[in-house]
Amino acid sequence: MGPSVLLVDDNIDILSQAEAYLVNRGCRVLATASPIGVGAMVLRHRPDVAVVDVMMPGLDGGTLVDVLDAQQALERPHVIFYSAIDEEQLHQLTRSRVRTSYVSKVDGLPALFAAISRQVAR
Amino acid sequence: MSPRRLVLGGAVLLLAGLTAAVGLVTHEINDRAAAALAEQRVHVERLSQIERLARATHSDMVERWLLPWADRPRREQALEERVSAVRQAARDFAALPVVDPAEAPLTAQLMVQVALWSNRVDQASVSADGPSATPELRAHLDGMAHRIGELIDVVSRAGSSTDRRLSVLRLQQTILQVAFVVTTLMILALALFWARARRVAEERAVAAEAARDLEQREARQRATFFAGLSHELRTPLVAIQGFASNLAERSAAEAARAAAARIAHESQELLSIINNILEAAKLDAGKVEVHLEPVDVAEVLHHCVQRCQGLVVGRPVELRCEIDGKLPAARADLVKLGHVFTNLVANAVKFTPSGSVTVRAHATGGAILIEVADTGVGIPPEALDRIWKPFVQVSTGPARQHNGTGLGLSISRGLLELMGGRIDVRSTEGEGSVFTVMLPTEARPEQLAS
Repeated sequence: MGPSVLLVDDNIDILSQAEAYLVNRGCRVLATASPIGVGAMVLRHRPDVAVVDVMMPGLDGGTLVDVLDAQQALERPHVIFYSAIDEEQLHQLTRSRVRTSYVSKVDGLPALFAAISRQVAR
Repeated sequence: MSPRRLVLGGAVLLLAGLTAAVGLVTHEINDRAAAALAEQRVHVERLSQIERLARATHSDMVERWLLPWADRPRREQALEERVSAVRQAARDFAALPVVDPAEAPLTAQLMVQVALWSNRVDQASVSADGPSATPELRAHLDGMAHRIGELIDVVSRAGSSTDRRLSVLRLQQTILQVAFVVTTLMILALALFWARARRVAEERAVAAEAARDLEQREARQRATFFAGLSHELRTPLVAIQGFASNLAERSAAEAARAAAARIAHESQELLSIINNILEAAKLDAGKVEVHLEPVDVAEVLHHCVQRCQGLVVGRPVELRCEIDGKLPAARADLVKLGHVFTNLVANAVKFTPSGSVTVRAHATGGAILIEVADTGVGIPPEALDRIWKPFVQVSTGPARQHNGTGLGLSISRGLLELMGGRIDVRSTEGEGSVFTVMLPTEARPEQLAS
């Protein structure tokens, strides 16, 4: 059985593409277009990895991770920021947060899948 | 209390103190001047009296004494008048206060001489031995005249001294008044100048802070704009790429798969162009910041090569890595270094129709040397300098064979220079090119600079 992945991205096209791509490669995917309620989903489904977009309306990816970290009952999974923003900004996001990494959307879904596989292998 | 009010208050206090001090000194000078003026009046009076005495004791007294005895009543009356005049003048003179101590003994001696002379005149008159007493009286008169002359000298000298003292005091008064007025004006001018200078400085500081705030706000807005623009341009392209890839994977028709692959490739090209334009704009505006840290160069290179593998799919080009396993950590910006090598490798692949692109890296003399070598079209010698300029490609115009903005090498050189590294190229037209990057190591960051 492949890794369980929580996908959070407000862009439905990219969300559905990522979901299809990862499911085709054996992942169990839980996808949501809204960052609201992600904490409850993590608590309920305990995903191996969370793939989180950065620029989302209402709650950006960085703040979402901070909110998850603030909930002590929650054992947050490793988060992979997956966004089309500058790599420099992605790097800064991960530099200040533990158990995070990033993949630029520019690198595509194969790079995302490789990063998920590396993370699960650890 | 504001500094301006403090300074103005200080200036007022200083002026008040100065005015009080000047008042005290002026009062003292006025007292001395009044005393000197009184002395001067006494001198004038004494001089006038002594001159009256001198006139009264003139030697014509002897001539009057020698008037014919026959006219004795007239002679005696004249003598009495003159002696009385001398006595009165002497008393008046002696009654005046002595200013110069040297006058006192001379005055006393003169009084004695006047008394002796007037007694002798009286005796001679009543004893009718007038003519015989004439030489003695003449001698008395000469003695008195001599003493009077001495007194005139002394009184005149003392008067001159007083005059000089008075002149000096008046000059001091004038100087003090002028100095007071000038100092007052200077203090007021300085206080006003200081207050104005301070106001100007405060206004400038406020203006500078406002300019700084504006600049920072503009920088933040620019950064936000670039971030937003980057995101908004890339996101739909990423979606297009994703759909194209899915289509290419799932489509049964060969033509559809080829078209989908073409869409994916072109959107990848477009993404690359957008990335370069945004990076070039930031470099041009001087807004690129590098975060130097220890970087595993081998990992960055492997990642870049992996990233570019898609570019050689379906082409007779081999993309490979030959990296020394014991590379030291470089001192660089992780993300920007990845950007540089992605540019170099993608460029090499683009200009290599067939053959190979090899990425090599090894440590050398305290630095890390990375080569991106291709067996592509190469660069003509006359174009080697031009390739570093933005928007320049070796082949230009509508007939050029390769797409692109010509920004990649310019950006790579700019980013490497910001990181303290450098880049060079050697190339043979028709045989290929080798781009060489030198990076300082974390252990010896000064190596390249030296």
